[in-house]
Amino acid sequence: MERVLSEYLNHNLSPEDMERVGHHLTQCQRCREDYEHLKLTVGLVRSVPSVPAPRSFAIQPIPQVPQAERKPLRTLLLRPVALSAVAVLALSLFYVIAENSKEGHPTSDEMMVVNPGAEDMAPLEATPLFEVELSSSRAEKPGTPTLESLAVGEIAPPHPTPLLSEGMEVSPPTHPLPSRPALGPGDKVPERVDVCAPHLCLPCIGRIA
Amino acid sequence: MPDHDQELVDIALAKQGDIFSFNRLVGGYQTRAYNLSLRLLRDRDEALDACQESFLKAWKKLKDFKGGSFKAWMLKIVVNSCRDQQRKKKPTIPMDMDISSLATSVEEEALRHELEQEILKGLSCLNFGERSAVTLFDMEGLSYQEAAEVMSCPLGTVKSRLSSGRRKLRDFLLKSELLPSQFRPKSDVV
Repeated sequence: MERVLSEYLNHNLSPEDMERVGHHLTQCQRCREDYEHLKLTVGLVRSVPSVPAPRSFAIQPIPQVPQAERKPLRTLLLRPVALSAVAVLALSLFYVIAENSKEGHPTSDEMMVVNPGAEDMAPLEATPLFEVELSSSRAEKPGTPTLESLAVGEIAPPHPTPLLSEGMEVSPPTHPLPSRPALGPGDKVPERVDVCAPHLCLPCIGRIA
Repeated sequence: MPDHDQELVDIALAKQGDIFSFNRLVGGYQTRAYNLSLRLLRDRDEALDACQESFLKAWKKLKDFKGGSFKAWMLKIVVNSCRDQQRKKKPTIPMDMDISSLATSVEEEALRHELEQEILKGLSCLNFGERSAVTLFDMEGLSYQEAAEVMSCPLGTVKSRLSSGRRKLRDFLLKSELLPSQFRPKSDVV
């Protein structure tokens, strides 16, 4: 009967049932009171006002990350590979060092101190890289032209002469030079001097002088 | 443009990913969803969490909405979120609701406030199914069909839950000493 009264209250019965229940309520005091109580309860429940939501539940749009700040997929994929490679290399190096120390291999310092063939080896001689000999005294070979004896004013060198410095000795030329007549006491100095090449070698510079 | 047509437009746009249209829908349903959550869970913070979770779920599953009553579809998500929320927490003795969170203003009429307290206390005595039926049908004004859709149960189950819920609530209110005399049945008034 409770369910029927609830449906009667909602007007959710067929017209015939609505009429039948209505007639019964006029005859039955107990059912009428139940119905009144139910009607009162539903009225009270429906009178409870709704409360406003204390805040908004709107979905916040996800901010778009600028293209420049995005890391390329390739970098993200390669990062673990690179880290793994570094880890493997570090482990391999550690393993090799550990194995060497177990087998009694000398360390690099020991190898430098204990070298079994070192006593039998002849000491290395220093070989000159250049044929130009350096001498601090020009009086040792008086006939050798020096930088000071070069006639700078007669012909300008085609290029600076950084190879020559004070006290350098110059070896004789190793290639044939063009012949020229020897100058006498009254002869004029020719304007043009034959040289070996556009870029003068050291013997030619001495020869010009 | 009528509200219903505007809602259809917003649903269509939101399905295409327009979050602003979806937020218009949220604005239209958030009070109803919050009140439903509050009455089902009887806890303000849990109701807020359930509501937010419901709208997030709705945003994610909006493409699954095939039409029909959007209100029923939305409230079904709310009810399911509340049910999940209630399953998570340990069973406790029904406590008094925080009426201060329900009161619209402190100057509300004292009698009405007292009655609301009693009604909400009575609601907390019902089980989840009965509470859902009473809240959806009597408070939210849903039809039987919509309530059945929201509660995911047959129509007859809704009717029986509503009937038993009303009966329990009626018994609770009749036992309450705070029920004012003008609201009591004539036979109880001395």
